[in-house]
Amino acid sequence: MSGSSQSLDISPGPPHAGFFRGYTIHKNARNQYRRDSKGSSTFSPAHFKFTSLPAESYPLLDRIIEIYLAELGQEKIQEPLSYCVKELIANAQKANAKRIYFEERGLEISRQEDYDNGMRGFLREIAENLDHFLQQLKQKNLSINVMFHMRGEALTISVRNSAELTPKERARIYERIVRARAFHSFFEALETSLDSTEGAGLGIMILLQFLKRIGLGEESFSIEGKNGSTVSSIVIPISQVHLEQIRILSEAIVRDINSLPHFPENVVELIHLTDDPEVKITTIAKRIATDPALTADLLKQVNSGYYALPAQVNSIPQAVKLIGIRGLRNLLYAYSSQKILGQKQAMMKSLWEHSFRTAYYAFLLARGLKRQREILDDAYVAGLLHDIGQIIVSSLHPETHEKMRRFSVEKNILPRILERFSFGMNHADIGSLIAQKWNFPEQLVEGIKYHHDPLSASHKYKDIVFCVYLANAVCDLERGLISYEQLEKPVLGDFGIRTKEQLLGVASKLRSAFEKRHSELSGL
Amino acid sequence: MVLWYRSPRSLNRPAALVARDLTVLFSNSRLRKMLKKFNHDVVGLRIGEVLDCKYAASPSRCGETEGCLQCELRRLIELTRIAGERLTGIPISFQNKSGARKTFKITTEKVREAVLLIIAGLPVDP
Repeated sequence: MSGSSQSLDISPGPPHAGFFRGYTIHKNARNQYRRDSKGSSTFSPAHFKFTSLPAESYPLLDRIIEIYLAELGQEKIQEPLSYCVKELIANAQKANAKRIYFEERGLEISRQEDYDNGMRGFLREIAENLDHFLQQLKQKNLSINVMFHMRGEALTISVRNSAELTPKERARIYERIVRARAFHSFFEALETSLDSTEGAGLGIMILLQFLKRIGLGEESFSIEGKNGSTVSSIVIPISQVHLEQIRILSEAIVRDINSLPHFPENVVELIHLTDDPEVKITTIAKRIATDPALTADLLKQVNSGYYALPAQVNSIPQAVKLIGIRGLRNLLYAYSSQKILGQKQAMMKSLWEHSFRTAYYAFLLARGLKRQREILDDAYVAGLLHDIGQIIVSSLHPETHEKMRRFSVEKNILPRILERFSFGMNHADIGSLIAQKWNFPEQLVEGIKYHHDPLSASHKYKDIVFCVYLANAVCDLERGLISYEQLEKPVLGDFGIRTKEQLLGVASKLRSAFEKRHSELSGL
Repeated sequence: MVLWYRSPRSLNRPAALVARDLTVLFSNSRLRKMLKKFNHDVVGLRIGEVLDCKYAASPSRCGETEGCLQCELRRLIELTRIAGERLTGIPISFQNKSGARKTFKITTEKVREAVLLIIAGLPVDP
């Protein structure tokens, strides 16, 4: 590593090695792109962490912004947006340096008098001793995190620094936001802020002027100080044209997957029976026994070792008594989905392996951290099926691909959108559409739909979605595909996870439990 | 070859035409006289090198150093190029090689993909 905190995660695009001088790139940062290309993930968040950013890295930053904006159909705003992001980074660095400056002079930044005294010389001092401050930023590891995150139908670019906004600073920023409303040109904004003690004029008002010009408006910008850091964010929505094209194509894919059979009706009926608390185990067992093929397959699954039953099970009533109604329900979903979708190809096998791990983690999270027995079953099944859209799109017959290509030409859908579908774009939406087609219960549909966008889930099923999201995220963390900074902090907070160390501790326990279970089964 | 519609040569102020990567494409004699430099010490170099910016003397070039993130001149040039708006009389400060702080009042104007930089006020040591 160069410096104390220089690391760089790049997920969405093929990185240009020339821009990485002086940084350590996580070994899987490049794999992330390959992973996307294989189609096993959605468009993943990208993350930069640094204490200072050499300007030679700007072309890389521009390129990443360009790649994300292309996904949104918003390429034309790349230059002004890049400018705004660089402004936020420059401001974040200045905010970190300000803490060093105050600390060195024994000034308390939150005290009004000290703040006013300190700010009189701060800008001049930083201009004259920039090298010293850059050195101190590295030594004290006062880093800046830049995150690119697709949430729902919008891209959020956030810049986090290591210093929490003081009330005085917050008041100044809001005052500037209000003042910026009156400006019609950059010059007006610059002229007004020339006498500012906080900046040399190229500050927040310029940023807001740019956002106004590119049609985003001040509501797309936010700044918040919390837990010892400040996060500035810009939210860029997907273009309406793009959104419509994605919707049309998603629906067409789901509609036209003729090779995909319906979920077996007898299984759907059985699942509904397991949902009914009035129905006795013997009734369900009798219903299963009427289907010899299903009986044989279920017994085979039960005896396969996963349930670690003490002895060979030869009848369905015996199996249901041992694995319980919930266990049976899980078994029905898992067995039927795998039977329909198959797992012969290597990639399918890998997707299912990931799904089983996610399911087990989601189950453990629901049991251990959420302590909600009533969602255990749903968390497991939703975890198991969360990537069902990905599995289906990856297994599309070549004829279906060709049909989709023709359909895209007819509907003037951008080739890139079609191509991205093959790589996993929108797999959560496609999965949820298929889950609806198969009459899965609402909680599973939500678990599938929002497993990358948990904050959009309905309140009713929030706990299940959060379990699946975190389980999937822990799997991705283990594979080095994402980093702690990329995770949704409100979700982590919901599980009582406040720090990276806590998350790594949880991940380690989940992994150990899964491996223990796996080795027990292998030994049977 | 004329790359701009308004030649720095015709201006009665020190001026330079600066490319996106901060390379000086053209300068007028007033600028060279002010800086006491020859044409070959100006054209083809980065603007920070021409103005003797402290960071331009570091191993990385002007526009490529850690110090460039906070550089007011770089940001002003980029703002002008992207926004396409003429910005007049903006005070820009930087440190020169000897550590002295210099402040210029600068006017910028977008000229195709380059930026015309006019030094509207003489350097002042604050």
